[in-house]
Amino acid sequence: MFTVGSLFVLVTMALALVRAVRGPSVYDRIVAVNLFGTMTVVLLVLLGFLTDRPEFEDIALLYVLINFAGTIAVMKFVKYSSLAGPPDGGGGRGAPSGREGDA
Amino acid sequence: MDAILIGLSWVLIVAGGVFSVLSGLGVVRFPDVFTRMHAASLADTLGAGLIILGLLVQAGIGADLVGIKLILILVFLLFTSPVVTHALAQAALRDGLTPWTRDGTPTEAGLDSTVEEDEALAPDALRKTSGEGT
Amino acid sequence: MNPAVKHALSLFVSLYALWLLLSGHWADPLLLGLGLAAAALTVFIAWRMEGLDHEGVPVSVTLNALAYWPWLLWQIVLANLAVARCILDPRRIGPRMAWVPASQKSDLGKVIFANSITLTPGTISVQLAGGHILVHALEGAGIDDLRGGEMNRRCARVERPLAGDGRTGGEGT
Repeated sequence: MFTVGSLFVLVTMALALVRAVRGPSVYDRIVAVNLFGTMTVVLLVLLGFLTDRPEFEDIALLYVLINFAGTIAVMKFVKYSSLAGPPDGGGGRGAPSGREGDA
Repeated sequence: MDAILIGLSWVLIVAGGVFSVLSGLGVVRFPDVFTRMHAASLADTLGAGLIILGLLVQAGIGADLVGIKLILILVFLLFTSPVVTHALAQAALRDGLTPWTRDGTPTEAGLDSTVEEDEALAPDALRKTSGEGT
Repeated sequence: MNPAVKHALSLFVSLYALWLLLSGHWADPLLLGLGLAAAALTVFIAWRMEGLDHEGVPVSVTLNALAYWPWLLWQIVLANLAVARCILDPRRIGPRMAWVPASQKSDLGKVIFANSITLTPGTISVQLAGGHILVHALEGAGIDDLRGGEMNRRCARVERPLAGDGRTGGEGT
């Protein structure tokens, strides 16, 4: 049953890759990569069950957070060409700044 | 008893897988960024959620606290995915991407439209007027 | 009790509980002590970053939020089915974007409402201005449902413990 689940996830990853390669705008690509990351998390969890190694769940837990921070960072970089934020400090309130501490 | 649990997790995992594939299909098929985000959030919520729930049925809490970790993964996923989607949508809109509509007319409200002018129109009239531009 | 102390304590307790659950070491005193140190260090950093307020540590709304989640999950399931139908038949989609009123008083309540909107597939909150949220919906019905205001009311109920004291930021300084 874990194999079947992994197959579904792999098909989704392939579809996301199609969009990441084709996507006209950079935002299409970010959406696709974010979807790919979510599916990576699910695949990691499934792999842990498939190979009977519960350590994979820790990696998946970490990857959820890395995926979040990574997507925000990539988007910020695309928008401002820097990870520090808008150069003049006036780029509109709160657009790419992730809230933290609500979990 | 065991058979019921195994059947239940089969159903959950396959349903989650189907939702994930549908989400991927939507990301490929839909016409513009914003509609694709809707499709992608399908995998973030029910796609991943049902698969993890199916595994949770299999594992229980487990010797290595696997169940707790699965629940935490799900909770983190549900907390982070709307933040990413919102930030993406706002960034795309600010960057000048216009949302696709069926008949090609602009949407009834946009970033430059003020709330007041939108509120002045009755919800029924909103569909016909192009409320964008000031 | 001083609200800053309350927030620091609750953050510390929840962090340590998280550490215990994730590590699974419940016998070794050295490891338990190191976990305590890690939790204390995190609280100290949060205090240095002035994150110890009702937004960083939303203790007062936690119970209400827990009561709100089952309804939200059910809405997510319904919305998932609707979006899945749209994906199978793309001719059904008719994207709309419109302002939706948000009656929450505190910033935290508005964030909860906006996040609920985004978490439900088929609707994305794009912009928050004053008491209104700009929403992009996959089907026109999504906007009409939100204007109906059920989710708005429930989110206002979640933030009710905050509505009294309003914004009391800057306690961590």
